[in-house]
Amino acid sequence: MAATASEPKKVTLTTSDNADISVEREVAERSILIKNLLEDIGDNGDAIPIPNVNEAVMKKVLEWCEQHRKDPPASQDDDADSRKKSTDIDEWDQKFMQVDQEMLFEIILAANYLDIKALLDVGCKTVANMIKGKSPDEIRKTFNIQNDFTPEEEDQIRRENEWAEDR
Amino acid sequence: MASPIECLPNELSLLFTEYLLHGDLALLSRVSKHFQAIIEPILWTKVELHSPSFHEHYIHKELQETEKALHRPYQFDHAVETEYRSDRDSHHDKKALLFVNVLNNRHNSDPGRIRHLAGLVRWLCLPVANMYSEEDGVGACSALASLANLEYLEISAFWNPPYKPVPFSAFPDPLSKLRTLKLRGYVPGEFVSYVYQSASTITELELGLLVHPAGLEMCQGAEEYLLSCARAEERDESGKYVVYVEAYMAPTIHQFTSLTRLYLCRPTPIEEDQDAHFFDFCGFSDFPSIISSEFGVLDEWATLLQATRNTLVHVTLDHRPVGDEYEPRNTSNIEYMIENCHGDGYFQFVDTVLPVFLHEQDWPALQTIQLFGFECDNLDHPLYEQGFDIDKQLQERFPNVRVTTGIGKRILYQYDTGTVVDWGDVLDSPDGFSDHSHSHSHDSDSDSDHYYYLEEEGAG
Repeated sequence: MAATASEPKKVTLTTSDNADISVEREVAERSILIKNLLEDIGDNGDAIPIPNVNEAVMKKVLEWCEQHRKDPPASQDDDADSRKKSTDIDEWDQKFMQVDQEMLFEIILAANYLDIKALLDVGCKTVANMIKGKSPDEIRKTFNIQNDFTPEEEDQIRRENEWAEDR
Repeated sequence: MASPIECLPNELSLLFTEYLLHGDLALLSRVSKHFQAIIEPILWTKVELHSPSFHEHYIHKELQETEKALHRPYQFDHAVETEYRSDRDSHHDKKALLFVNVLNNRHNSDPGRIRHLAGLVRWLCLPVANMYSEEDGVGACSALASLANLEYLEISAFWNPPYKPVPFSAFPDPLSKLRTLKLRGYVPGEFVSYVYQSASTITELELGLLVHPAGLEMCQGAEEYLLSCARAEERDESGKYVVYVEAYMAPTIHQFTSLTRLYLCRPTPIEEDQDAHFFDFCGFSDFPSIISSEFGVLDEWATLLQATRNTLVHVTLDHRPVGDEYEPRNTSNIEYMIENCHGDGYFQFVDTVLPVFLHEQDWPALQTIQLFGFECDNLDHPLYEQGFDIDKQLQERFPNVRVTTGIGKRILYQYDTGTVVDWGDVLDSPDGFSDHSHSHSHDSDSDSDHYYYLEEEGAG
């Protein structure tokens, strides 16, 4: 047991596709889900099953956790005026989020499941930034969305919400 | 195959919409039915149609914190962020009209669809640029009557010449879920009576009503028109016409059984001879006066306070001394307030309303009393010794209640139309802020400046 002081504690996570990933406990505990699990069941050395996240996504998420392992806990006071939230993302996170869309949404789902609020925020800001300033058509192209409105229906929605548009 | 973004659970889609402004949300709602279903409730549940920070900008500085706690969903419109405040405000008047037109089904949509949208609205703050125009005012009132689930209603209603009031018809169903009602400006009596049908559920009431302008067209020989508006009983002993402001409440006053927060604001006379001068100037010395008619309002204040004292927690009383637009003589708001806050309206208040606080027995829930525009403490004012030191009296009467006072704001009327010279919210006149001065200076002797105000309102 003399080694524990210098050697950081590790935990093993088992992903949905049965891959075992060994990771420092401090890094894994960026996830509140994992942190609570470890506190509840105690760290008995068993692998922790993460049935909702596959290996590729888990590795990506842990890469983010590694980078942000020393971040202070998120403050809860900035959700006041929800329509004023800034979409600024720091440079490392911006690069981190340069992934294909499938991965982007997988990361968002994983961050939500694993309860990593800061990562979830970065994911949502990234999506918001992809929508901002685009016309409906450009949004459809960006996300490969099928337009299921008739032209008349779309025109009606436009008129209904015109008061909220910028001009 | 559905796009990955459409496969997100709704609670996650809602998260990224929190980073989008109204303009982007409106465009996103047109992308697909999936997004329409997500966005619609965001846009339609809580609707603020004033321009960004409008209320924080114009409210008494002592009320800033309460105001911020409302978290109004302003539409942040960066395109106009750098323009003048008034330009932004009139830009948003157009938004308000677009909103109202949807509810009135000006686009001939499926009525069920309009009912659905109307049913989403729980919270609404609506500026009405001209309450007496058919499209704007009547439209707004009838649109509001369709909001079956409305819990919070706030209206700032302006009026611009030359419109005369348009008659309103009664509405079928009361707003039965209404909890908060805030009415400022030229809200027609018929509409006020309509919303008072919900009196028993209202917990928060704010009133700053202005009467249909008595000075309307007065310089164009419209006396007959006004005579037809003023009912016979509104002629007082001296033969003057008395136009009651917000005297719509009497039949319903005792139905306000749940009221916890009450904010009453009124324009208040400053001194007799100024009125006389004002009306002589227009050639109608016996003309109905907004200013001299206020006893009715104070009686209502007193009755309402008596009737609701068992439940009231927070009371705010706001006196706004009135002058015609040439009266201020380049004074700042603070100078004007110091000069006039011990005017006639103040003494009327002391006679009529103050005794309710001092003599009525129980105020079991009362926590705060806020007073604006009544007395100027610690000032070397000639009238100060005539004052009654209202806040000290109240503090002694209610040792456990927080009594605070603020300097308040003035109201200026345009002498030829009777409308408020507004600069901000409907009860705010230029330099109407104790802590704020506009870049625009009010030169009271300049005709061109007067013209400027008319233009200003006409743009709205």
